[in-house]
Amino acid sequence: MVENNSQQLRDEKGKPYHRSAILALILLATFAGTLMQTSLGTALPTLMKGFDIDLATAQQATTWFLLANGVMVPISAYLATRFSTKWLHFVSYGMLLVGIGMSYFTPENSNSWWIFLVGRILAAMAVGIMMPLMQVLILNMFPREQRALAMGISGLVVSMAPAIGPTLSGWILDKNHIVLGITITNSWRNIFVIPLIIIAIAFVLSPFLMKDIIPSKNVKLDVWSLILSCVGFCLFLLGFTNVADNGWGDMKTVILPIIVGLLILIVFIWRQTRLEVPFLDVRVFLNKNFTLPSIALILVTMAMYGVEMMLPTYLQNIHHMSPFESGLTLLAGALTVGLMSPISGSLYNKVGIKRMTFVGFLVLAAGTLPFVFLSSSTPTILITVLYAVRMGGVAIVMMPLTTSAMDALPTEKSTDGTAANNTLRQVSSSIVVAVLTSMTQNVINNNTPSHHFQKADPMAYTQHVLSASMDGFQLAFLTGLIFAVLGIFFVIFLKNEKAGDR
Amino acid sequence: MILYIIVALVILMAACWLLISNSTLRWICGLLSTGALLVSVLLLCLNMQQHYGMKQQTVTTKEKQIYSAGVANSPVNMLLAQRLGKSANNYVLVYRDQAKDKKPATHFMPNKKKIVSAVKKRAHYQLVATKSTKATTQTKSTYWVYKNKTMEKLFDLNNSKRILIKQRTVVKVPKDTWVILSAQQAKSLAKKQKQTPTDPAQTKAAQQQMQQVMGMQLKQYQQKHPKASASDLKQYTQYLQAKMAAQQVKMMLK
Repeated sequence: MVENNSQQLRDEKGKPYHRSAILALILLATFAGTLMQTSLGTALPTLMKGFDIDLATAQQATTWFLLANGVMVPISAYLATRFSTKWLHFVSYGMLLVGIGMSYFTPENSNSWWIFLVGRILAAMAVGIMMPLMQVLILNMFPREQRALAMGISGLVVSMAPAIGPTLSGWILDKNHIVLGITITNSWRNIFVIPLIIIAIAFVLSPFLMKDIIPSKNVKLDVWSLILSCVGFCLFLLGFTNVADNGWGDMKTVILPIIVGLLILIVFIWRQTRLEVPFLDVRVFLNKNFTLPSIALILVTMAMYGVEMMLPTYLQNIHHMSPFESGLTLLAGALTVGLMSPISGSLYNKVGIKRMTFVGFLVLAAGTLPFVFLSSSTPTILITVLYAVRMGGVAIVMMPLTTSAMDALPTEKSTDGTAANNTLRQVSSSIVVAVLTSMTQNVINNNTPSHHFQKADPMAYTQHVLSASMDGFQLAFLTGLIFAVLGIFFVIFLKNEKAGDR
Repeated sequence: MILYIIVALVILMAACWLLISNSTLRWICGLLSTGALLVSVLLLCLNMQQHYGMKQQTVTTKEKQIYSAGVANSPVNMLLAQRLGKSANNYVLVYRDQAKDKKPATHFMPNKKKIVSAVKKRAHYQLVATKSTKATTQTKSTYWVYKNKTMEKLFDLNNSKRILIKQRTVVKVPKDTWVILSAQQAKSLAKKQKQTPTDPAQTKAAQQQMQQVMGMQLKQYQQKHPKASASDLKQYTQYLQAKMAAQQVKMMLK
């Protein structure tokens, strides 16, 4: 391992490669991809106007992205093992380029909306491959003692891009801007320009820089696994996505997809344990040191979403901020993650996962507690600072936990481990989003006074509506707090295994 | 201030747990800093939830005279009042702040852009039996204010000094000499005034009759108050004039 570190690195075919150049390339491309993931939310009203479509239709742009993205993650393990790393990257970058390009050039009328959607789906599939691939590459390129830092740097990109996305698109849509003498109009198309340029550069560079790093095997594709995984995850995620619009009781769009999806997934998992060469090796979960950090990761994800998802709504509805302003308010949090990720990566090697997780969840809980007492007149500065504190806590645990989970597996299992881990996180985040949205909406609905009261005394009615939404928000924030506190206690189960121990 | 303290303690706590290699020292420093962080976060929560470090203060403004919303120089004193909602004691009121104002101003319109503070404010009018023609406005506001400078430094995050709890404004209007109209009544009144044909002879007769009645009432007043000064009499005449004018308008509205 030591000579691997100091000597020139060689790929599968024995050709030398530049680790940092490759890392820079994948970080750049993944940044473009994750930027695409979240940047369209704020643009929905503009898209509705531009394409002359209703909200439900416009929301397909984000729903389909989520689904296509989620379905690709479990498949990534197979793809990474079967195909050459170099060409897999080249193809997925190309797919992202074509996808963004298609959405960008879609003419503005409701008949062409499907072109926009196809572009989104292509982009989502590409991102679905790229994200896990980035982790697998890092695990394969860096020896154990350097992984944590490299993962921390990747965490910088993965967690910052989703926070920058909505702010950037909010800024673009706000008004026409003049930057360095170039006029940037407030058209929705300009949201795609930056990712388009970045991915174009990455696409051109990838054949030269990228090498076949992940050892590839000529495994036979188990078609049944592929179908079961795609259909199962698609239905399961679709069901939870629909909860926000249709509620839990909707048989056709919520209950049925979730149950059928779950059954298919059980068959999928059962099949994986029977196959000699599984499509996705779910047996990685039998390793306790992989599973426990994975569960802790779910807790962080859920604690993070409890506040992250509701804060923009709170800022826009109660404080009457524009999407851009609410993005700016939360930007400090994203920057904290960026700053902290590499630091926590290098600290992890020194102190081990137990202490990192303990401190991280403690910071997360301390930063979340005041959110439970948020009122309609809470100053913005409090939200900005405490949100940054929370995100600091997230940064302390996120990447070290991922590294720790992966360290428990041999490097040749890293593709399966990454796919399994990411899938789990994706599933848990879609569940928590659905549960939180419906729970919050429920509280708001129950506490909102009846409509005849509105006619009798509109101002008192408004006051009640305001406090009803505050009740809803507080519940979501409380959920975030509960997960953070659970995380503190979960530390007991983690085994302290420093990176260099083996 | 409390936010800076929390951020500093978070950094201190993380540094204690993660950077101190001596395990005894780490536990001591770690527990101390964690405790301090917990206390400061709890203090902030107490301030947010129960207004720890603050007390309620009620501020009542001086009574301020207001002026009619009607046509300038008209003897009729008008207050336009539009109820917000069917049964709320909460109104948007239209009147002049200064006698010389060209146009009356709309007051107490809820600011939809600042709805959070708008829902805490209410205004209503009160009819007062008085011989005066003066209408007044008075606002009573209750605030959370900091108990002392230390608390203010600690918890005042956006330099707001105080937080509004509720605001109630009362416009006191003399019962006899003012007319209160809804927006709709004001419109129909203007319409009626245009429609009614004005016969000069009739108007003159009505005016003469009014002056007679006024003269009689003034005499009665003098008999009752033999020591009344000239200014007292002038004031009483004004009251009588305004009352008559108001009665006339009230008649027209029926």
